[in-house]
Amino acid sequence: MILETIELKHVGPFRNEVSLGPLKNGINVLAAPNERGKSTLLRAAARALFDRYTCKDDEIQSLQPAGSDLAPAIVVIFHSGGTRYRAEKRFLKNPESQFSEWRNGAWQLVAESDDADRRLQTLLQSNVPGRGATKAAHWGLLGYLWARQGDASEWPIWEGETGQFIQTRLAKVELDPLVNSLRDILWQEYAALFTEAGGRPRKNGELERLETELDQVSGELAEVQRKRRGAEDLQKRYSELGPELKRLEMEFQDREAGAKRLRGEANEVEAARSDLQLREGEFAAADEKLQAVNADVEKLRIHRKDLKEAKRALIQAVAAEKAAVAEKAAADERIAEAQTVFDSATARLASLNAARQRIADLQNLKQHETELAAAKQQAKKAQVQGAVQKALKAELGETPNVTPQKLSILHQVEQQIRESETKLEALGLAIELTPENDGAIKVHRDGAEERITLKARAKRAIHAVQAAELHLPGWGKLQVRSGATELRELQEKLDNDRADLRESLVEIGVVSLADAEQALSHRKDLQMDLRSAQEKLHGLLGDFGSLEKLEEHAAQLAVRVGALRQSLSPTGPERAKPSTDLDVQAEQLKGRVKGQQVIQADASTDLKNKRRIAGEKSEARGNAEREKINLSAKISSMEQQIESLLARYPQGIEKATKDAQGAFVRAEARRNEARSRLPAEYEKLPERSRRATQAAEEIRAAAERCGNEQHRLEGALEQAGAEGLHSKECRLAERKESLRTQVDALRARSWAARLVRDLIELRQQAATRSVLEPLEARLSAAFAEITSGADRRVFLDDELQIVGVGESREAAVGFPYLSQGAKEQLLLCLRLAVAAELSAQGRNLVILDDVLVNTDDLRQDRVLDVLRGAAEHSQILIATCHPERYRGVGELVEIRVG
Amino acid sequence: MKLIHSADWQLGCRFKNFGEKAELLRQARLKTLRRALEESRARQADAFIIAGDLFDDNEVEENIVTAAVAAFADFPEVSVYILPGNHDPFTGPASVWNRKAFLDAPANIRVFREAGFVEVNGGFLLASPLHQKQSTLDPSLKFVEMAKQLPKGSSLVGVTHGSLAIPGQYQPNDFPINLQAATRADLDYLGVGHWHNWQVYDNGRLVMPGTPEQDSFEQTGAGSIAHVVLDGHGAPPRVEQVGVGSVRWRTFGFNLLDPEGARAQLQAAVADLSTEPDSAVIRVRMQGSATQEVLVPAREWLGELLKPFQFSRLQDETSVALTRAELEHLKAGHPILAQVLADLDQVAAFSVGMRNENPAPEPLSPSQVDKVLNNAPIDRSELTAAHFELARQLLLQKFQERT
Ligand SMILES: [Mn+2]
Repeated sequence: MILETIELKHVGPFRNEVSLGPLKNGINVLAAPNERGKSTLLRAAARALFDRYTCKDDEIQSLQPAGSDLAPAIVVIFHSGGTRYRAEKRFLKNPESQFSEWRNGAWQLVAESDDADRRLQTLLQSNVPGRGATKAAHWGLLGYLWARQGDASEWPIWEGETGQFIQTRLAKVELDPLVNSLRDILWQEYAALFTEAGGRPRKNGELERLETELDQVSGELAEVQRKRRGAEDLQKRYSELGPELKRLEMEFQDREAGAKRLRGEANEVEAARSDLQLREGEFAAADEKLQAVNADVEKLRIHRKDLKEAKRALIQAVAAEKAAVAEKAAADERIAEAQTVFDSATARLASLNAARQRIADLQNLKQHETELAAAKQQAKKAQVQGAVQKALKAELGETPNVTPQKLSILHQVEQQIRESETKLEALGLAIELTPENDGAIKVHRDGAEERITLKARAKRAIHAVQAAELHLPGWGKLQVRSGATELRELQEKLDNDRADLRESLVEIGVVSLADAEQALSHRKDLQMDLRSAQEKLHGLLGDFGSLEKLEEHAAQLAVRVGALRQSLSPTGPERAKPSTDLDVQAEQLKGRVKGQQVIQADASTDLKNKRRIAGEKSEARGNAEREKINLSAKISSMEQQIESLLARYPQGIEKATKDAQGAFVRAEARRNEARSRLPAEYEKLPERSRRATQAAEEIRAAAERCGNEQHRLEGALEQAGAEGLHSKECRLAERKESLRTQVDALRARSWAARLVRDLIELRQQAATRSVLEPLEARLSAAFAEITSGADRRVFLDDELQIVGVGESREAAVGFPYLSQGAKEQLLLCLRLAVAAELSAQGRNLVILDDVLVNTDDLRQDRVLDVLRGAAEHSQILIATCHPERYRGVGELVEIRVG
Repeated sequence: MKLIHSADWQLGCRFKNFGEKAELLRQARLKTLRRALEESRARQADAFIIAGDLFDDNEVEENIVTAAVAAFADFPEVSVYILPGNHDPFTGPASVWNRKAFLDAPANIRVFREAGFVEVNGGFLLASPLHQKQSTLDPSLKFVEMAKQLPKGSSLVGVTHGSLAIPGQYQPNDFPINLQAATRADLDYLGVGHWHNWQVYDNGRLVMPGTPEQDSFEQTGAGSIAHVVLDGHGAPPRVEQVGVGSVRWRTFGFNLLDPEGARAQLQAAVADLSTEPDSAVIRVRMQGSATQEVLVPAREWLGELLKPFQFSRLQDETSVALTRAELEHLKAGHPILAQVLADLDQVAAFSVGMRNENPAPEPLSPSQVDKVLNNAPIDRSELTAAHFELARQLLLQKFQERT
């Protein structure tokens, strides 16, 4: 179809009527800036052509002018198959659809409402979804030829009849119509029972109904069979129970008899056991009695033996006591003798010590006397030295007090005086010169002339006495004379210094500076003498430090000597004895004292020994006495015990022993006899009896349980038998079989239909594939024209989707990875190829709504070449906001008001 | 001594391939039972013996039991002796013989719940009933001892149930009965039940009458009861096979080789049955291959013919055949269909292991085979050669319809 005119009212920005067209057969360029309603206008035309007039989808509502409830109204005039048609629709409020044909120079209304919509669909090979607005996929051919703004790089999937048709056309496959119809019929047969998408039986379809019933019947059948198996199990158990019960009853009888027998035996054993117990008691008593008598006999024998031993010991103890008394007396005598020896030794030692003491005292006296004489001598020498020191101190005091510091100050003052005197003599003029340039001057002063060179900007001083004459070259002579101020000041200072020197000398006590120097030298000599005198005195005093302390020491010694003389009152010879004699005498006495000390110690030791022996003897005597007493007591106690023991057996202990033995033998015989009456293992009998009784009881209970179970099973089986499960099973199995047959037949037929249909489709696709290449070649050529890349090919897949572009299929760049520009251009080529292929049936409209947004100027030119070529057989409507790109191409059209 | 000996009535039994109509076949048996009782009364038999398997199972539904007892009650002059068989053994409380209808049965019914004998018109009826479904013991062995207790010279008739111990033809646990069991126990007649075809052994003394009502197409000796006359101990029994069965099971062929001849033959055969269409179970096997033009009218005609017979079944084993010209036309004019036929062979070979006679020049890839098999609504593991034959037939049939 090709488009002639679009008229709108109440659509988007167009509240009033606008129109586009009439369009030409070739290229039509609708150029306007963005947001002027180009796309809205095209969209509205699509809605009018393809959507049901009653559609209220958002897509339709979005056509309404913003904020209004105006009803969008659209008229599209188009040509198809040589006839001119007019589709007129109003949406939303009072919706309306009219379809007219141009006949004999006027519009003839052909159909209205739904009928009009249907006519339109047939004509445009379009369809509508179950609900909502149509999508490009519903638009038939235009779905592929209309490149919508924003979707320029998306290719719709080849769907539905139109998709197939175009695919076939593109691939130039003339498919066998018989094969197509077989394929469709088979599909219908399959789809009658199965859903197209999921391949599941259709809801509420025959197959689903049969399969549901089959499931249900199978379930019921399984339940019945389960019940039957349950009943069979019961039956099996029941048939086992009879023999089991019989066996249990027989076993019970055996057990019961056995238990009864064991009970009788156990009772007998119990009586025999109580008799045995009695005999054993008697035996134990006899045994005890016999043992008591035997014990007494033994006791008596021991007592008698002990008594005999005690009496013998007593005799020995008496003799020992007597011997001990005699030994004690002898020891005492020996102590008295030893005491005498010790006493005389002690007295001799005392007299020797006294003699030794006197000698020591005499030695001491002699020592003190010697020390006293020495101290006196020392004191005398110290007194003399002290006098010398005193004289030196006095002389130093009389010498003028000149110190080296004082002398030094005096020398300085004298120096200053001498300098002042010199200055005073030399004092005259001082002239300072600072010339600008190097040069020389002549100076005349105090009768002399001198040439002086000067340096630029260096200060130079020239001195003269009183006056000077300077000859400055180039300038003249300069006469300088002094005043008196400086001279006066110098004179005053000289006078002051001279007065100071005089005063200082007076103060020291000398007349001249030379005297002062002499005095200082004399003082130094005196001080040296004084120091040596002091050192001498120190040596004489020693540790005493001072003469007074030395004299005090001598006095103390004198007192001590006096006291010793008085106490000793030494005899003449003693006094005359030299100290060496005294030392010899002292040494001799020391030896004698030592000897006497040894003698005394021996005597003391002997005395101690004698005393210890006497103590021991005394103790032995005491012990002997106590032993004698103890033994006497023991003997009397034993005699008493023997007496009381014998008293217990009035008939005599020998007879008592014989009686007890007799009783024991008899009791033992009776016990053995009772024991022999019990059977072997009699102890286990009561337990066995109890066990047998319990076993019998258990068997009885088991038999009872068995009987109860049998009874219960009887009831259950009777009930189960009456249920008629077999008949139910029969009917269900028969029904299942019949359903299974029907289901299998239906499934098998659908399966076969689907399989064959799929195989047909598979083979058709393969056939399609085999003719893909020519189409790829055409597309490649168009694309090459745009991109001027002759070595690149375009590749398609089985579904005629663009796989990619490249030198070979393997090396192709996948479509998703191509640039936006390349994608647009490729799809443009594909659209134009589709339009070209279908042009045999008449021109087709291709709408390019702002599609080449990513294409550069160079390629744009080539695109225009391609478009111009395509315009030979197609109507092309280009909507763009870049009019310059299409300038000079085709017809410019615009949206007109009214 | 006159007896009617029947067995294996199998009341309440299951019929395969009849769906809901099986109920009608079951009901037919009760009518036949009444007919047999009528026969007994007419012949003034001393005993109407049922040698096992009166019922198909101990757990048949109550109305079958009451209907049977009612039938017996309607013939009070007929003494009915019933022996539990392997289908309805006396097992105690769950046994059909302990249902109220039998416990309170009318006087003319006697059920042998345990082995024993009963005097009948001067002779003795010795019974060895079954108490379980299987056993390796010969149930007729009991007669040896039992017969010794009975007065010498009286006619002795044994009744039991089991398979005949014919070498190679019986299961060891299926109550094997010695083929000389009658002679061995010195019986004049041993009436047994179990197998469904008429059999006679032991010099005419051991009789297996078969089921009185045929229950499968394959049976040839079913549909009878035995009328037995004993002329005293030692005399050979006089046995008459009396037909009582009402339902006729017939299989017919219809070959497309000669459709006209087949039509005429079938027409004649069915004419015989059409007087009582409800007493005929008919199976027609349609065989051969032909084109649609022959097949379609043949099917239609058969459908019409069998319409009055509710127990009829058309077993269609035909196939669509293409003429050589048609096949050439298909290959030349519709290469895709020729390819699909080859593909079918390939997929069949792949999935059910059929031999691929004509491998296609461009076979399908394994993934393509997978894809088509996965899309079709039967699990691969359940596919058989028949499925592929059906697919092939479907394609050819549709093709023929369209050309
Ligand atoms: Mn049987």
